[in-house]
Amino acid sequence: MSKRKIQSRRRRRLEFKQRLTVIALVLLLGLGVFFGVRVYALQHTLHTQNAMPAWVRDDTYRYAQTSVFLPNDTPAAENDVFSFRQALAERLKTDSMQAAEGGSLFVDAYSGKQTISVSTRRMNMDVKTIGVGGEYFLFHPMKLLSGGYLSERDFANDRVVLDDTLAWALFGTTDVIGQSILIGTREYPVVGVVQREDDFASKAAYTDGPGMFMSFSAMNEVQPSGVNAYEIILPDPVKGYAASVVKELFSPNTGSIVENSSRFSILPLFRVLGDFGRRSMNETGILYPYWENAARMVEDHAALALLLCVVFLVFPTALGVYNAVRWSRRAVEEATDYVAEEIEKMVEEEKEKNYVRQGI
Amino acid sequence: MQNDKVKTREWVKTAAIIFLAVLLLLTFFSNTFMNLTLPQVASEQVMSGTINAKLRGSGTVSANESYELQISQTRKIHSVPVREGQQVKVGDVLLVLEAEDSEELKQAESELQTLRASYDKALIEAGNTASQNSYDVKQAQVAYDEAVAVYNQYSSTDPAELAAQLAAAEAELSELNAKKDKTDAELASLREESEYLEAKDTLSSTDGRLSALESEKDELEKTAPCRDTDVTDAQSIREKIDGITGSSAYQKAVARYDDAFAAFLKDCSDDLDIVRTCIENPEIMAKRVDAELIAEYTAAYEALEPYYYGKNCLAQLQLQLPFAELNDEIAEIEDEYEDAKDVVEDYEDEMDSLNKKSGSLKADITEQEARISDLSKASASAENVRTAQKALEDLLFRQSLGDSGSIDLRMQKQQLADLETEIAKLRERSDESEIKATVGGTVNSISVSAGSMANADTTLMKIDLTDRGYTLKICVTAEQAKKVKLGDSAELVNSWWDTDVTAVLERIENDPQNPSRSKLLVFRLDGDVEPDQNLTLSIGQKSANYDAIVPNSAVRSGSNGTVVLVLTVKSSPLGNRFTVTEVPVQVLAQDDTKSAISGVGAGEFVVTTSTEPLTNGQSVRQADEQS
Repeated sequence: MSKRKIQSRRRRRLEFKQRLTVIALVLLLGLGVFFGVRVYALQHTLHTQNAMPAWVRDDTYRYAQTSVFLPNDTPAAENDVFSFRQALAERLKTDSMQAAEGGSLFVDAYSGKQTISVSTRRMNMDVKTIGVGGEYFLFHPMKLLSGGYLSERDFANDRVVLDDTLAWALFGTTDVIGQSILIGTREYPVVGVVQREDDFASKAAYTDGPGMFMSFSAMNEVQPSGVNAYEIILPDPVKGYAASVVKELFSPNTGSIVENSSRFSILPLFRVLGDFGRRSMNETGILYPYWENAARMVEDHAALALLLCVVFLVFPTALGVYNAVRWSRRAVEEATDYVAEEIEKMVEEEKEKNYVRQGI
Repeated sequence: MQNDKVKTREWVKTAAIIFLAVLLLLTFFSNTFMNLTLPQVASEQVMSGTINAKLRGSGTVSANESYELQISQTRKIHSVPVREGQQVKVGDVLLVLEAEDSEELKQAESELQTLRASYDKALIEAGNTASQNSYDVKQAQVAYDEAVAVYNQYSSTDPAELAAQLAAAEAELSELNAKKDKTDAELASLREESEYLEAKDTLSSTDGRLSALESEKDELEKTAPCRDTDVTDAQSIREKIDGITGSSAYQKAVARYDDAFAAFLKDCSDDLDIVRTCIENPEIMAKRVDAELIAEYTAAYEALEPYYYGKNCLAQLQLQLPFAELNDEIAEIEDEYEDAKDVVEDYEDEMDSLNKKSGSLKADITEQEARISDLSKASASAENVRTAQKALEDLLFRQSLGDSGSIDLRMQKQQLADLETEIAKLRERSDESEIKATVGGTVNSISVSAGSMANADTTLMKIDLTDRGYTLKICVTAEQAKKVKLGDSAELVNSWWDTDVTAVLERIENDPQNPSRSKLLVFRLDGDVEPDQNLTLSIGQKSANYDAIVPNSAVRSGSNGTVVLVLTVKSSPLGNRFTVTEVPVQVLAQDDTKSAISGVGAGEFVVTTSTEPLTNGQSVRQADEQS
């Protein structure tokens, strides 16, 4: 074979290899970016974990969102929430934090669940009801199909909000504002119809069928209930302050405390990976509400995506780093060579000037 | 080289064209693209209107006032004559207690006895010690012992009890006396009763009248050949007589006879003797008198005969009449006699029983007087015991002023005195054996039963005072309680029955279960309600006019207070641009679907729902119209 042919074949093989390398690199980079974007998307899927932008309006303090989940056999009572609020207000004052004029430093929501028998003229059914207090719908901004939410500021506490499935089942339509449902012998006016969250995690986690919301105190009057989920946005001037204050002041302290606002950041997601296996064990006996289950599902997915992102980006990054190092070394070498040459040239010139002209 | 340069230039040109094309595309569709990324909002216009904020709550109906029956001392219950749910009036007996002393009294008295015994013992001991040194004390001790011995001959009860017993016995005596006096007075008045006296008169006079009538009857019998002398009912006889004599048949017969006889007489030359002879001797009559006349006379006579012969003929009736009158009168008198006899008997029975009662009372009185004299004697000797005891005490106390023993004695004496006063008080305050109702109403609950002990100062029975109305208590938050005022009226919220129940807010109380956060609204109910009904009330405030009313979903709470997001629109060459501005507001009133706010004027648009949380100044787009 002629040398030229061999050489050109070699060159072609080299080019092919180079092209392959480039494609592989691009692919890896693409996948890495894809999973990176997925992590970002997952971080912002659930509104329930990210209620702060809806409420925080000034940037005097840094805020954090924290939740407390209590086991079913030791739930909290409404009074526990009220005493926690007082204790927290005093603690914030002691730690010299002050609310804006007319505003407040924290906002919270508490909820419990019961099955309640509900009837209308059309039919009656047993409905899984969430009794809410505080600003529940700030933390759970489900889409309003009609009417409004329940709030602690409400003047009457016997209002109810139905989800769209329940409105259809009970009334045959979602335009039911102004109608009432019957629990026992008492009528409760419907003030809102909401559509449940439609992200993949909430859809998988919510298994209770048609559901209803009413004020916690009204639900307690129908059937005595306990609070098993408590969510709060409060100032977090230094990292971990919010979680530690809640852990210290909230009673009963048999629950698990979760900091929602930071759970999807990189480090906590790595911790989720570290808890792999152990996460599936339930040692606390706490039945999480569906939104917390959805959040944990999202955490799992996000952690996995993060892992894949890191794995795919490892090689290109390493290669990039290696090349960068080599290039910079060469550049430095060239620069020093060049500098040395120039210095010699200058020396020769000087020599010529000084010595040759003078005929040495 | 040239090829390369051309190739590069071509490539640069293509790139430039692509770049410009993309730029143009983006510019034309920039609005659409931007819109796609903007959050969507739904908005509504702020309008003026009315809000009728209704506060709803439910509670259980209970009687307005409840009366709790208590007694002041612990007694045993004999019977409970009322049931739960029964209506009672003032004066009805609610409880019958056993007629024995209350537990507290029994206990106090036994305590008193123990104390007394120990005091006497202490006194004697002190006396024994002191008497070793003092002659006076010894004397006093001897006197005391003697007095006690004398007393024990009369009675074995505690001397101090005697006074009480004596007083009780005397009270009983005066009661007995009063009863006897009352009985005697009743007896005397009975004796004077006019009804009684009249009846007795009747009895005594009857005999005379009866015998007079009997003899009259006998006389009549002798003269009148009446067949039936025991007839009665003169009135009906009279009627029968009148009936016969008034009948035309009889009158005709009489007239006929009269005529016939007149003719006969004439024919006999108006000589009655001849007539008589004719009648007695028919053959003479046949010779003397006209045959026709005789026939006529005979016929007339025969026609008239039935009226004079026969069992109940006219003649007999007429004979019977006076007998009947007499018999009637006799019967009347006999009836009067029987009645008077009954009356007299009744009175005399009553008087007998009163007599007996008076007699037994007299016996009781005598017995009681004997008892009293015994008690007085015993009391007198008890008095002696007391005097002797006091003398001994005084000596002892005087002797041992600085002795700790005497302090103990003094203390015991004081305790005794205190206990005696307490017992006197208890006796004074002890309840009757019948506990009567002082109020009227329905018995709600009874917590004791026959045979059980009723503890002092505990609720034994609860009576709902149903004539004082019913109340309903509703638990609300303190903020809600601020929005209502006394006198507000409420309506019933129940879907099935129309009632005429009215409810008026009477007072606002603290909730004992949750004093800081909630209050109890107490409503007075009038109308058709029953206790233990569960009712839902709706307390409406007067609807008021507000300038700015928005749906509830437009009001948001944030860290800087309550705000609404006002939608401002700016038109630009590329279409309308919408931005939201945060406006702090205050919620003035609220009902189920809308709120009245201040801080925003009517006509503005506020955001009700959005697809994302919004910040001040953010651009948004309007939600797509949905049919």
